[in-house]
Amino acid sequence: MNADATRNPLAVAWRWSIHYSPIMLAVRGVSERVRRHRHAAAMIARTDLPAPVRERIGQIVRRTRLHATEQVEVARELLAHALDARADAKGENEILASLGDSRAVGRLIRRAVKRKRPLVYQLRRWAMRTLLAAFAVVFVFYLVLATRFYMGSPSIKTDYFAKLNAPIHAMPEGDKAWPVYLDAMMEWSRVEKRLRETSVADPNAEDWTVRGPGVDFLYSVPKHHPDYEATVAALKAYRPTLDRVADATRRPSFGALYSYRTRSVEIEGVGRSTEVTVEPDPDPRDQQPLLFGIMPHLGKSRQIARIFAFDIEVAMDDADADRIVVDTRALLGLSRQLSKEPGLISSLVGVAIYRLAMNRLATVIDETPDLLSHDQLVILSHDIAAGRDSTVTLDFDSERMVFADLLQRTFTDDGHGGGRLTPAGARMISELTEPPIDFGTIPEHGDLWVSRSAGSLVMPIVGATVRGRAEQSRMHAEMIAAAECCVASGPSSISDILEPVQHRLDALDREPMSWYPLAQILPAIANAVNTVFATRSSADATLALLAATAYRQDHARWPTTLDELVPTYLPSVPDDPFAPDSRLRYRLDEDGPTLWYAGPDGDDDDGRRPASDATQKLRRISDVRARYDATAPEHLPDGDWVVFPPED
Amino acid sequence: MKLERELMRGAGPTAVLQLLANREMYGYELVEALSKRTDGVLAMGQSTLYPMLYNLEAKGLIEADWRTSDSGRDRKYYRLTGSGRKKLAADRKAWNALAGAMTALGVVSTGVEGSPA
Repeated sequence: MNADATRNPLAVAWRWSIHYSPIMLAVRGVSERVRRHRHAAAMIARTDLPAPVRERIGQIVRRTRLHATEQVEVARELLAHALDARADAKGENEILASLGDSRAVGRLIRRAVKRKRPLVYQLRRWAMRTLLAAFAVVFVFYLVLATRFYMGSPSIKTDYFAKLNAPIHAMPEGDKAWPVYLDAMMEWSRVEKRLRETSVADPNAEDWTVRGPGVDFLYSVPKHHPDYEATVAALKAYRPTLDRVADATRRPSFGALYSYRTRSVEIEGVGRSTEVTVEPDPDPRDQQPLLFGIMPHLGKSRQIARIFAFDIEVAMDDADADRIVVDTRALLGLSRQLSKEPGLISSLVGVAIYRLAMNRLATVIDETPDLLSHDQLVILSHDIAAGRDSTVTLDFDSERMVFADLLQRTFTDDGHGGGRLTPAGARMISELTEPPIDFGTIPEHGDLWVSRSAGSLVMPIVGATVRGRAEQSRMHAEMIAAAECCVASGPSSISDILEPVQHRLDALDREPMSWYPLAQILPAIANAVNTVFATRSSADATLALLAATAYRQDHARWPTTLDELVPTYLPSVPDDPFAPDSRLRYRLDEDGPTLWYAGPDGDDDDGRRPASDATQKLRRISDVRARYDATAPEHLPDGDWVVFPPED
Repeated sequence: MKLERELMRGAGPTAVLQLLANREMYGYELVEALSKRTDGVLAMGQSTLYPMLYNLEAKGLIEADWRTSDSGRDRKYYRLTGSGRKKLAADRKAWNALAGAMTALGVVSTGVEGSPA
């Protein structure tokens, strides 16, 4: 009886699994090789068989390349056989003939003995074979992927910079405001330099509102700042330039070139320079992506807006209503020009400046309700109403161009709108990602076999997971169309249009790698739409406030309700975007009027402001959709969005 | 007469199983029995026998253990397992059917008609 057969099969399996485990094989390693030869060879050497027979058996045993115990077993049996043959008077040659060719026999015995090994070994052997086969299949698949990926190159045909800049090139110089703004800001740099040089403020003051030169707090220089008077004096001296800027805000276009290339312009008397954009490369293949276009003029626009806003405060103190009107109209004109500039970011800066104008007007009316004349109120109302839909909007056309340009630079082009990610595209995506993905050195076309970087190995897999050009293009077009439709339809369409957009954005978020570069481009859109709605609602409330102020001048009292303003002063009472079938709310008490919207919880809190940290949330009109949610989320802040009086 | 390799590959294992059906045997004994009882037709050397025995062992048709013989030498004795007996029964049926078919075709001589032309 075989000794193993009498043992517990589980114990046998356990012993063999340990015996043939990779660790044990490694531990045994070389020593076993030496030992098995020594043991089998010693056994063969001990017999008195003829030397050629011993040698042949030794060769056979060695060529089996089996484990030590198995070799000993084989040697023992072959020796026993040869001894029996010799005892049976078989000659040396006959025994050798019976043993056969050592190489062939060794191989046959090896195969047969390995089949005898236990199930654990067999399973491991098959698992290894399956693994190797799977690896081979994956490797071949990878090679196909890699070859296909690195063979792909983008086909850049369209010069989107030229398309965007075409209207600017076609425009007469006198219609462009940007040259005037640039000159004005260079002059303002000299004003700032003088203010800093003459500052009497303590740069290390404990109170940050008076720390350092007042010009650094131009957006709202506190009156107790040591530099306040000097700053105001400098601003008044600057007003002739500011008037030229105000005139320029009435020009049809901002007129700054959209480009990724800049040149430095020396600011005389300041000792530093400023950047302005210059023409991009004429060949689109040499250009940077449209997405990487830079807009140094946006920063300048913000500075101009801050100066006008500060000038309104100064004019208010001087009771200079004309100045307030000029400055406010300049802000509105600047925002109008920016809204026509390419790119969502330009639109959003324009919207922010429009909102700044309304905030300043609310402050003027709160502090000096009699300052602006009836006519001035009407003029400002017209300007705000004119910009409500045309200025407070988003430039989706340039957004489409930005994405189309990105696709032509990152994907191949099959001529039918389809294509796959290219190495150049992958490199660009890694730059777009925050933080940047380190794909290593991505080889240029044709260098596949040269680069050994891990990034290069990973890239074909990333390329295979990224959705195709046609799919990304379609998804982008649908989402932009939905956002555009939503902006055109108003807040009531949020649940029907914006919410599906948001759901799609959420889907992209769940698999961002598949949707590069789309996932990198779109998330800002829902927020941008929300900003537009909030600003339009703010504009509606400001128009109601201006109407109420005009009413006050005519009747020597504030209206008791907004309905009193309709239709003479106001076409209709604005809707509350947060509460269906409700309107802008109004209350008159001894401190004057209060105007407010219900806020995203849809609940009227009688004009009570929320906790300060919830203010921004209250202006998120997209949260209006929460009202339709049966679970009534509790995260929405309690309180109202109070538009007037402005918050201290 | 020696069998073609393919024929030997088919007939050899069945012949070994048949020999072991009656009693347990060691390697050299099997070689000798095969040679003598088949008049050399199924004669095989160690180079063929042992791989065959190990394969049969791997399939669980035979089993073996080492014992010391009367002559004082160690020998590995092989015997049939239950599976081996079943396999042998099936092989015998198959060989009988084959022999019948070959006889019917005149490939195998019955001893009456003489060898086929």
